[in-house]
Amino acid sequence: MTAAIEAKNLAKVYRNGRGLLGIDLDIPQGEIFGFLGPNGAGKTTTIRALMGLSHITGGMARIAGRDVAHDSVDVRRVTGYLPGDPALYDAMTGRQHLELALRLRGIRDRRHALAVAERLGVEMDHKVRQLSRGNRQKVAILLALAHDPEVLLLDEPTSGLDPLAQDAFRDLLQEERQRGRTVFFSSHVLPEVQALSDRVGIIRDGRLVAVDTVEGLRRSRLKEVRLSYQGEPPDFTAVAGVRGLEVKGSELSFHIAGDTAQLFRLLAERPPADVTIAEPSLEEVFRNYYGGRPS
Amino acid sequence: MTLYRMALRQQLVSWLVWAIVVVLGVATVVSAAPAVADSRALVALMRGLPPSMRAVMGGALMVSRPLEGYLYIKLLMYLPLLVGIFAGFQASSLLAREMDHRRFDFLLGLPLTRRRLLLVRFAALVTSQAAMWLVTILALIGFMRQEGVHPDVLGYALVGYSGFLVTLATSAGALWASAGARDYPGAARWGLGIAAVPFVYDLAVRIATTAPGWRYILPYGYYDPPHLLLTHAFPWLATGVLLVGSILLTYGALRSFERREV
Repeated sequence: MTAAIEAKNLAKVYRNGRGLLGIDLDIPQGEIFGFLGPNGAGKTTTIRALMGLSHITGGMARIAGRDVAHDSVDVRRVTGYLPGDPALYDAMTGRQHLELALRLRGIRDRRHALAVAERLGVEMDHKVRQLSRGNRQKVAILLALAHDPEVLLLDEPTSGLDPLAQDAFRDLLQEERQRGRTVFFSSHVLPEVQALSDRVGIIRDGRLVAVDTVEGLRRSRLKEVRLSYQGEPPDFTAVAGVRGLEVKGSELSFHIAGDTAQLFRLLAERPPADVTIAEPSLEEVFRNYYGGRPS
Repeated sequence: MTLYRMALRQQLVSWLVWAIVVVLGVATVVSAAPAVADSRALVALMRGLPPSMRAVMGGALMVSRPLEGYLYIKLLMYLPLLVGIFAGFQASSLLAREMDHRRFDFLLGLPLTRRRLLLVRFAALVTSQAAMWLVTILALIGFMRQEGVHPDVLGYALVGYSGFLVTLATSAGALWASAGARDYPGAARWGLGIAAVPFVYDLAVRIATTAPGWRYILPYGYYDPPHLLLTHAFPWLATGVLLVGSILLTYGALRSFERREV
């Protein structure tokens, strides 16, 4: 089966040497793919390169089998795009934006678009300049979904949305997946990515450092360890892979990544009174990739 | 047509402002026309001016047809500059302001080529500029008739047509410059410069009269209302040079826009 989103060594290098330094993606149809990374890591650059808005400097990418560099108009025909911090025309209403977008796409049937607008609670007849940040975001989401695209590329989609609108949006995405649509979205809201995504990609300094299911990432990369000793606990600082060690009296907590053999040898030599080894949250995995302490 | 109509709507407010201002301005200037029509004092004043100043202020037109000469120095001489500045700002905002506001993310998220987007929006701009000139010339002719003065309809039609060509070339130049500009303020400065600097330079060359050939490196060099009103000669040179120049500049803007990040 053709991948809905495919990239091979996709690069977009700016003059300062930063940008997207060659990433590979293979996202099948019907998958929700969460894209994680801090500001400046390359999330927006990736999405703009996939949309053909940004001229790629190396590699290739395809959306629904169409080359983003050479068939970018076709790519945009089958793709719904939500820019990060979307800019609309202040003097136009949501309905006018929708009309413009559908006409330029040659779509006459408004039923799907109006159903999406109703689900999201979009204020259709107010001028954009009169709308709050969240309501503008709803208009922008509507414009991305209105033509019932095969693939959705969404940059920080829930930014500015109130909790109810976020719930409605997540429900919509789940339904899109059930209908076989593919969703690629970036987010800073890690619980949201954890709840929605089939797979997650983590980008760091323009390179994709991990792609796995949420469960896979949590299992393979990091364990959260809590130990309780009667008396003085042993020193775990020298154990390979230990990070974020915190000692409070006779209780310790830390995270361990990679091979755990050395940890278990030490535990066998100095058995604790109580031990908990848990899989971390996605946020902890994410922070682990960025060298920060898990919260 | 959808994109064209949208672009026209975006020009509508500025177009209406122009129409109101120009109609009021023309009415004010033309209201003095009957008094000027047979003014011997004005003719005598013109005859007393040095040749270079007389050339700038309409020359033989003022001497042989004082009314047209009066309308030239009061109105027609500045129109291409005023419309040009207006056009320069509008043309530079077509790309640069949209890029500054990141609105191309919305438009280019739709299945449109950059070529179509730019050309359709530029066509709408040119349409509104043609309408500006039409309103100006119709207002001039209409108010002259109302004042009981017989207007030189063909002469003013030629003036309006040539003025439009200058505006077109100015817009294309501003579009080309703004396609490479870093931001909207930079692009707007280019737009202003492209309209104003050549006008001042052309004026200086007319005053100097030593090297009139230099006029023809600028769009204003092809636009001489007194000559058109006196001769009624169709401006073939202006038509050829300014149209070809506009096409080349628009093509250059298109190439820049297709290459650059938005």
